[in-house]
Amino acid sequence: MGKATVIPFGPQHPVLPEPLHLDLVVEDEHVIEAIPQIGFVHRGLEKLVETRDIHQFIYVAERICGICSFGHSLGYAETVESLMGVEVPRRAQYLRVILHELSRVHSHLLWLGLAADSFGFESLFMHCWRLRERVLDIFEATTGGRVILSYVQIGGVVRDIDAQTLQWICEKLDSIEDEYKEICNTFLKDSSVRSRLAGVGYLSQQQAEELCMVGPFARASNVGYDCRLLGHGAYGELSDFAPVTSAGGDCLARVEVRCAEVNQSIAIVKELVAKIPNDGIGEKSKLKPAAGAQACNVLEQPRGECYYYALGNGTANLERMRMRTPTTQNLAGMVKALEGCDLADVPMVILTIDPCISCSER
Amino acid sequence: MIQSFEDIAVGDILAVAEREHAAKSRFVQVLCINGEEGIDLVYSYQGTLAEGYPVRNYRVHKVAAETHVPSVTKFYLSAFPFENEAHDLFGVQVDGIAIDFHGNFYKVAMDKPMTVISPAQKAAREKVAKLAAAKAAKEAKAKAAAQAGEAAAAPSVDWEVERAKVQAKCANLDADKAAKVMAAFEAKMKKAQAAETVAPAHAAIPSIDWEAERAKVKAKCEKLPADKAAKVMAAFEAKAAAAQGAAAQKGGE
Repeated sequence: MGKATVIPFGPQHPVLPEPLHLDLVVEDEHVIEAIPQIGFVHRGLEKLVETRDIHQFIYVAERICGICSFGHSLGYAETVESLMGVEVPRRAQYLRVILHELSRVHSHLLWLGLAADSFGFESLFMHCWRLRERVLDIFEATTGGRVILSYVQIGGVVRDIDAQTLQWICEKLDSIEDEYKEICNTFLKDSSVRSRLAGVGYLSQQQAEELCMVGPFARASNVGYDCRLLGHGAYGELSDFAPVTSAGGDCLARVEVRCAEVNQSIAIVKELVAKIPNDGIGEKSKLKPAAGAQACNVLEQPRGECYYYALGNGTANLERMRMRTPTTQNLAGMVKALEGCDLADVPMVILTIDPCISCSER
Repeated sequence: MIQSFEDIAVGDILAVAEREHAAKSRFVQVLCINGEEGIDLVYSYQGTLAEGYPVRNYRVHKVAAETHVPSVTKFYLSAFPFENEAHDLFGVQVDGIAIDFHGNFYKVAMDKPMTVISPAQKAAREKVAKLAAAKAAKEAKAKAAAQAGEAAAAPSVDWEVERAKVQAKCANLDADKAAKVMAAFEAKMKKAQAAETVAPAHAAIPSIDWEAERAKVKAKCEKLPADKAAKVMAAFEAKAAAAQGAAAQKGGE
């Protein structure tokens, strides 16, 4: 057995898209312990509720993260609506879910690209990001933005999407499907990819449950929890929904789950477009949160469950707004997944939790 | 989503965590709320599929800076980032965190940055306090008015007795001061008597003697030039006709 050495990893590292620091305790080439550290880019966004009213804060919420920007604005709006008892028209709920599922597609494609990059498959990375551009084109055509959409408002959405455009979205998604299938085949069947992913960073179902993991990271260890099961908003009107799970528990299983979730999201979008009602898109609520009123909400972001909490103080501002993001929840799981892996696999294991440090440091 | 909020004491934190752990609940998060009298902590757990995945929030109120809070990482390792966050950003003293960074988890420029009460938050709190005070004052006023309504039924003031009292006081004053005090008393009495007659008028407004009023106006008009007098009389007649018409309509209803 070799001597234990501590290798500092990050916050600046070619494979890390965001500032995460790890102290890796290694013996020879094996990691025996990993101690994570965040906190390099804390921005105090939650404290901004004191100076931004409930409507202005939507724009702050969607700037928490560039990848799940839509999800954060949706989760925040749903929490404040729940706090004030605001009813949202069904059409607006459908439009919100359509865009949220599209953002899941683009987030997973982005992640698949980064994963390919982490094990050195550059052309696969570029193919994934090329497909992701088509989803961003949909955002641009429907909301005017590619990253920050500013589409949700408290009480509904800011603009409608006509039937012709909705149909165009479905056609656009159809055009992705064939190429996406090829990418999935490479990820799941190519021997060189499998040799880097299979059996790496294993976590059992029991470990995943004990560590309270969320999102695709947990579902890849056969944990059948997905917030969409709760049926909030238009999710409650889906004909059928079952979380995508895999019993593998390793990096390959995490890729499998995300690959399947892209197809699932595309199916959800098509189903909702086919049966979208016509009862209006709602308008900006004029209510104010009551003093002492509190509400919480959970939303399945692309990276996993996000928890929101809002506390009113009787003014147009909130007393407290809290977003607990999936990365923070999955840090304990990541530490366990790193224990026992090879030093060369560390970047891949970190990436398979799909960490978003911006999300974690509001 | 099923959600609940329950208040607990600092001493119950571990018992609640143990109970939730035994019930196979999932740990969701810990959050802090900055208050003037201490930090509130909210612990969230999520029940199982069989329960419908309810989110149960347990709130500990007003945790003082010197209070030590037990760590729940004994039951849920995933709580370590939240407890380190509570320490680094809010200054909450958490004992026994499984992975304790001792204040180095967040690299922030200042100590306990989230406990700073900003001018905006202070203004919001003052506004809320003001609104609450205004509401309370309004309620108190309404209550006093209701009591005054009951008091109105009480016997009115005996002004003759009051006059005798004031006259007795005036006996010791010099003549012009006494005259002033008496004049003030007479004015006060007149005003009070007028108010007393107006108050019951809400119940039954006495009808105006328009003939007497007409005679008064005519007397005034005698001193005026003919064209002005004609105008004043015309205005009076119009007013009288409108008032009488309204009274007749009310009577009909």
